[in-house]
Amino acid sequence: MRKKRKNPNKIVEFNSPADVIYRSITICVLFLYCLTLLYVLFWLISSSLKYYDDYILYPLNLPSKDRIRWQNYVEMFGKLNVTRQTDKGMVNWGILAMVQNSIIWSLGCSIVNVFWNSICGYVCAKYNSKFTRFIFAVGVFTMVTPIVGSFPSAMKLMKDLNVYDKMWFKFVQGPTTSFAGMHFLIMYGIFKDMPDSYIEAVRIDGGGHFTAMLRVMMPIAFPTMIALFTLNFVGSWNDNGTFLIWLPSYPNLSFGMYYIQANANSMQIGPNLVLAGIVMVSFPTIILYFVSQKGIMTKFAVGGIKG
Amino acid sequence: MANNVKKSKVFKDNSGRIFQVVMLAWPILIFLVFYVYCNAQSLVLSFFNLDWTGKFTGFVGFDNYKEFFKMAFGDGQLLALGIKNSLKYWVLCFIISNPLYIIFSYVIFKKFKGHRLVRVIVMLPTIVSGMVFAICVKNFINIVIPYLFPGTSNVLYGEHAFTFIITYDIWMSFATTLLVYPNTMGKIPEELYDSAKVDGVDKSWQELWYVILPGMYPTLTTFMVVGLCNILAGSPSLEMWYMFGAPDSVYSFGYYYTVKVMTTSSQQGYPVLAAGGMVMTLILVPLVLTAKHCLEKFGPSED
Repeated sequence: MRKKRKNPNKIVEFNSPADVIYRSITICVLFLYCLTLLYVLFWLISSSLKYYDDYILYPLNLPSKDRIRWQNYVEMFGKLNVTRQTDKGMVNWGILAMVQNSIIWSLGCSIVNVFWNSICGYVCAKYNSKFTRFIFAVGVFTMVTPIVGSFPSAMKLMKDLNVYDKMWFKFVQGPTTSFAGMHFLIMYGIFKDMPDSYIEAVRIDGGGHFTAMLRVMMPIAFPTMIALFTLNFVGSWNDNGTFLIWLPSYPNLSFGMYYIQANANSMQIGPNLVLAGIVMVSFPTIILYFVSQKGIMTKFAVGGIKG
Repeated sequence: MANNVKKSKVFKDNSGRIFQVVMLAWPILIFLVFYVYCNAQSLVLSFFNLDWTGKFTGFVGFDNYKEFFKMAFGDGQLLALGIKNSLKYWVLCFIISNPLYIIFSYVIFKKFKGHRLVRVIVMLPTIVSGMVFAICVKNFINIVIPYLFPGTSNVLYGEHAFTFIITYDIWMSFATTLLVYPNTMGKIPEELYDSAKVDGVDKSWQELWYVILPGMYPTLTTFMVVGLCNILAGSPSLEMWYMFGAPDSVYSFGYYYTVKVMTTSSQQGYPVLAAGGMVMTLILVPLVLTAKHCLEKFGPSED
C-alpha cells in the first residue's frame, strides 16, 4: 500500500511573491463569494420581518426597531396550505400535515438510501467475486451511460404498476440503482480501506457474514453513514421536485413553499410573508447542518470509476 | 487494494456466496424493473402509438422518430432550441466552473485563516436548498432591481434570461466540489509531495500542475464523466424559477420533456418523446464512453 499523508496539517506553504498574490486574490474572491451567499440569507431574514409597505418602499433597508413584524410568521403559519388537483382528485393539506410528510419523507428516504448504499458498498468492496465485480461494473456503466428521455416511460411504468403517487412505495423501492452514484462510491471506498482481517477474525470465532457486517464493519463505518444520513435528510427535507412530479398528493413543507411562491398572487399572500415561510421551512435543516457539519466536512472523498 | 487481491477461504465458501446474493437481491430487482425494464419499455414505446389512457394502439415503425427529427431539427421548434440551449449551457458551465473549482479547492486544501468557515458557508445552497435561494433571488430581482434601476424589465423574462440562469447556476454550484476536492487533495500520498520537492517544485502552480492534478485525476474524471452524462439536462433550476411556464429562450431538452409530460394528462405524446430519448441516447453513449476512455488514457500521470 502507498504511504498515506502522515500529518495532513503539515502543508508546505510557498512564499514567492507570485504565490502570495495568487493566494491573496483567491482567498479574497472566496470570501466575497461567501458574503454574497450570506447576504441573500441576511436579506431573506430581514425582509421576512418587514411590513409590506416597508418591503416595497425600502427593500434594501433593515426594518427599524418599531417596525419589526413577527406577526408575518404567525400569519404564514396559518396560510401555509396547499390545494391541488391530482389524479386522486382535489387534495388539501395544512401545515401540520405537510410537516408530517416532510418528517416521514426525510427520515424514510435517508434511512433507506444509506442502508442500501452501505449494503451494496460493503458487499462489492469486501467480496471479490465475479458476481460483485459484475454488479460494480453495471453500476459504473449506469453512471457513465447517459440514457435520456426515459421520463415518459418511467411515468407510464409507475402508473401501470399502480404505484404512482404512493409514498410508501418510494420507501420500499429505495434508490433505483443502489450500486451506483456518489454515496455508493463513498461507502465502497470506506469499506475497501478497511482490513479484511476483521471479517476473517469474526469468521474464525464462529460468527457469520451478517455478524461480521453488522457487528464489526458497519460500526466502524458508522460516522460516515451518519454524515451521509444527514446529507440525505437535508436533501429530502428540501426536495420539492419529487412532490411536484412523483408524489403530487403528499406535499411536504418544501413543496408547500414552492407552491405558495408560485401562487402567491392568487392566494393574496405578500412576498414578505412568503419569505417568512421560507425561513420557517429552512430552520430545521440549518440547525441539523450546524450540529453535524464537522462530520460532513471530513468524510467525503470520491475516487475514480474505472470499470 | 492489496488486501483484496488475495481473499481467504472465508470469503469464498458457500455461505459467502449466498450472503452476496441475498444482500444484493432487492437492489438488483429494483434495478431490473425501474432501470432495465423502464428503458426497454422506452425503446418499445418509440415504435408504437398510445391512446390517451396509455394503451398501445398499433405499431408505427419509425414514424415517431421522423416526428422527433422534425421537432428537433426544424427551424423555430421549441425542442430544437432546447437541445441547443442544453449544449450551450453545459459547455459554458464546464469552461467557467471547472477551473474555479480547482483553484478554490486548492486554496482551501492549503488552509488559511477562516478556511473552515468558508467551507461551512459554501455548503449553504445545498443545506438551505436551491429552492430557498431561488425564491429569495426571485423576490430580490422583482423588488430590488426595479428599485435600483427603475424601468428595467424583469431579467427572468427578458433577453438576458439565459445568461442569468447560467450565472446563477454557477454561483450555486460550488458546494459539492468544494467539499469533495479538498478532501481528495488531502488523500494524495505524501511521497508524491516529497518527490516533487526533490524535483524542484517550489511554486503553487507547479505543485498544482505536477502533484495535485495528477493525484486527483481519477476524481476529476469521475466528475467530468458524470457531468457529461447530464449534457442534455440543462439548468436544474428552471422548474424553480418558472414551474412549467418558462419563456422559450431558456428551454432545455430536459425541461421540455418535463413540461410535456406534466402539463398533459394524456399519454398520447409519450412515444415521440421516447423516440427522441432513444436518438439522443444513441448519440450520447458513444460520445461519453469515448470521452471517458480518452480521459483515462491521455490524462496526466503521477510518475
